[in-house]
This record gives sequence, structure tokens and C-alpha cells, in this order.
Amino acid sequence: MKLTTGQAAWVICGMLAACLGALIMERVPPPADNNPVPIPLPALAGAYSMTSPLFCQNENCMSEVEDASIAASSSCPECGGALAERTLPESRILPKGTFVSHAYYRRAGNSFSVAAVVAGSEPTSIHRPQQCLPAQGLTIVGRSTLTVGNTPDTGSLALTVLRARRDGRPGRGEMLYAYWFTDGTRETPYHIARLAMQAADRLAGKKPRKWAYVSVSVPVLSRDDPAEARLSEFVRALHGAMTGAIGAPASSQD
Amino acid sequence: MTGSASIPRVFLRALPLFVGGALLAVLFGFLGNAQEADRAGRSAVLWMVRRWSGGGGDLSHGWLIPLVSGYLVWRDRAKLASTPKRASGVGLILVAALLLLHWGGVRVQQTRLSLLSLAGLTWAIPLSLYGAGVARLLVFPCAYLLFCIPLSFLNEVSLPLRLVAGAMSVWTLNGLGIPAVRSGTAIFAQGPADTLSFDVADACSGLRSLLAMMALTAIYAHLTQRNAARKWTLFVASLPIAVVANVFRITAVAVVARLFGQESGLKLYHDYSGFLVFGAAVLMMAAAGDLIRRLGAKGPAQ
Repeated sequence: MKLTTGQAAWVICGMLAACLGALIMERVPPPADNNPVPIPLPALAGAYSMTSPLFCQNENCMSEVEDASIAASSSCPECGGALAERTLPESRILPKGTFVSHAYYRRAGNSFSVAAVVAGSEPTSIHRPQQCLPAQGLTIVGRSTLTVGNTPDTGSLALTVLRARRDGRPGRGEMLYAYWFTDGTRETPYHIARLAMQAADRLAGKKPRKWAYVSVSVPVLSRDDPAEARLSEFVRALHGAMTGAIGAPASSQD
Repeated sequence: MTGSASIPRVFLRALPLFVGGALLAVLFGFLGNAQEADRAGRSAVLWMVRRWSGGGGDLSHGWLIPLVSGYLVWRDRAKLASTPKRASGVGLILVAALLLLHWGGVRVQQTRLSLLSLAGLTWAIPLSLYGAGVARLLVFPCAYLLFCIPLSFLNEVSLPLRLVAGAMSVWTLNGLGIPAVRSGTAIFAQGPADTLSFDVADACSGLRSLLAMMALTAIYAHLTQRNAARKWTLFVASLPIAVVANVFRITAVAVVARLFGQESGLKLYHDYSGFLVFGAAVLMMAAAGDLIRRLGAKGPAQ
């Protein structure tokens, strides 16, 4: 059957009207209520014990306070500014409803910095470290994927590992920055894979799930430092502690 | 009586276009965004325009894209008017698919999918109404609208380009007699009194973004090259051009720092390197276009 331009135009109008109806009927999905990671982070990860730092919210200071007695006073010992559980850039950037937890895990001279960000209802809650790290003055000089074996639940965990430098000078201030995404049941080292899984869930009309972004950073002490091996060993312990202790988020940090 | 009878006929012919235009305006001007909709609103178009204005100007070329597309359509207005017109069923199927994509974009909260749908509809609707002849003339102006979509993920894939630019810069500097070493994206050039350090920024720093360079090369190739193969060759060349332009920037800054001191080099870097890169990239793009034209002219007749 041949269509005239006028008939085709009315067919298009019909399709546009149908699409409009579908979009008007589209409802915002209910908020997710799963806990992808425990907030606050577990007090112990294997033999590693945890301390939680606080961060000065004065943009001229932005100090980190780890001493519990100082932190209890809620003011920065450097400048007297207010202290909070998230850094100032996080306070500014992360959307409403996002949970953040920072921690240090230590054992016999080994120290790891851990951050977990649990997304709120908006897909932009979790940001890509490739953008965030340079914004914090770090230069990314390499990227790789590392598989940590023998994790208690899934058997292995894949991480994206970024090699970064704080001051851009070789051999000084270098660190490994590893991260992965999890919704409590699925894990991926790739931002794009997380987005694809979220999109597939939404398209299928499944109940939305919260995703978390877990990062672990460790300084590279020297050129011969087996930092990647130390990182693997710690992540195995942390992952086991987290999957064994998933509980309700402690408090909203809106 | 013919005049008065023709008024309702004209009105009836134009009515679906007005209705369709209004529906399109509502679908994308008032709906289409589900990301942070309570804060950012539900308009896909406003979501896009906000990104053109923000992000340090990296997407500010977005304002020019619809104007360029509009100009290209206006330029071909005589050809468009004289092309035989016939409604197309394939076009209608494509419109349906693109509207499904728009709905899917809202459902999965990916506004970029809705914007992709909008760019596609600017081509699929004329195809449906007027057929393949008209659609063929509109391929480039409509495809060019894709550069409006904020594709921020391109910045994420720029790390390998930065590493290549850094390696080429060190090679060039050493060739010029300026001792330099690279570590990741950082470069250290030895001066007479001190060491100048740089971080190689995104592959086309100074051109605002890789996307802006690609958009510039796309329109230049379209206007200056005669056939599709040459146009695509020049367009693909935008990537190495962006890298080489950045190499030019780094080399120029290091040379100035070596000759006039680190302060002068850094001033050049901070204040003028963007212009240097832009100028260098435009010249390289023009040279590449000229080379492709000459090589094409020597080859078999098209």
C-alpha cells in the first residue's frame, strides 16, 4: 500500500502521541533497599584492624584527622574547621542519598586506605575514579585488571588497578588504586559493565538495586615493593569481611 | 473561490506537521531525562544544554553544532526542493524504532539514548515523509547533530593517547637537544638551571576536547573533500592530529622554558598553549585535507 506524505505525517503523529503516553505513564521506580557493602566498614578484615578518619570541611585546610580523641571534638586541630565523615570534594559532588565510608586498615606496618561509596537513587552517585583522581591532584600513569583468587563466596574478584602519582615525579608519591563495583550479588571491575547491568535491570522492570563502589589504595614504597601482591592479600581479607557482614547503612550523609 | 478553497487545504496539509512538531517538542523539551529528575528537571534538551555550558567549557562546541547543521540544510535548500518526494514505509519503521529507543532511554535513565533518538528522528522523519532522495541530502547535517550529545566517556579512553603524546614529545625534545624523560603522563625536561615538569593533559588539550576536534574536522572534510572515502580519511585523521597538536604544545613550552626560563615556559603553557594547539591543529587539518585531495586527484577518476 502506497502512503501519501500527509498519511505518513499522521502516522508519525500517532507514534509520537503513543510515545508521549508511554512516557507520561512511566513511573520513577521505588528506591532500592539492598545493602551492597556494610556501612560502616567492618572493624576487622582478617588480621587487619580498622580506624575511621574524619575530614576537615574548610577548603583551605581539608586535613584528615584520625585520632579518635581529636575527632570526638568535631573540630579540626589545624584550623578549627568542622569535621565530617566525607571529604570536602565528596560533600560537594556526591548527590543526595549517597553513603560514604572511609577507613584505614593496618597490620604490622602495612597500611591500606579504603573508601566505599554506596549510590543513592540516582545513577550519577558513583563517579569514575579516572575523573576523580586527577581532580584530586593525582596523575594516572597506568591501568590494569587484577584478579584476586580464593575469595570466600565467588571464588575470585576482579579489580581495576590504577597506578597513580601524587606529585607527578617518578619514584615519589606513587600508589596503587584498586576498585570494583558491587550490588551485593554481582561484582565487576568495570564502570561500563555496572551501567549495563543496571540498565538491563531497569529495562526488565526489576526492582532496582543499590550499587557500591569500593576502592583500596596502597602506597608503593620502592621500585622493588611487591605492592600488587600486598594489595591482593588485603583485598581478599577485606572482601571476605564485607560479604560476611553486610548490614543496614548506619546513617544517611545527605 | 479557488483562493478561499485552497486555504483549508493548505491548513490541512500543514496541520500534521504542526501537531508532530508540538509532540516532538514535548517529548524532548519537557520529557526524556530521568537522571536526577527532581533536581535537573525532566527535559532531555535542557539536560544536554546544561552540559554544554558546564564542565569547564569542554562541550561548549555543542552550541555551534545545530547552527552548522541548519546552515547545511539551508545551503542545499534548492536541491531539497527539486528532489522528487515520496513517503517511505521504511522511514516509518525507523521512526518507531527511534521512539522505542527514546522510551528505553528514559526507562534505563540514560538521557544520551534519548538524545541519540532525537538526532535520528531529525533524519528518519524526513525519510518517512519525503523519501530516500531527500534523506540522502540530509545524512550529513543530521549525523552532525550527534556531536551535540555529551559523550563524556571519551575522556576516559584518552589515557593511551596521552601516553603516546608524552612519548612523542620526549622523542622530539631529545631530537632538539633538550634532555627529557617521561614517566607515565608526566614529562621532565632538563633546563639550564632547573627541571621543567609537565603533565600531558587530554590528547587535544587547548582544543577543549577530542569531540570538538572531531566535530571541526568532520565539517571541514564535508565541505572540502569530494567523495565519502576522502571525507572519512580526513575525519579519522582528527585523532592523530589531536595527538600531534599536543606534542607541538609540549615541545613549544619546553623550548620556551629552555630559552627564556621556566617562568616564561609556564606562562606560555597556562596562557597561550591553547591557541598554539588550536592553530597547529587547524594547520595540520588543512594540510592533511590538501594532501588527501592531491593524492585523490592523482588516483583513478572517480
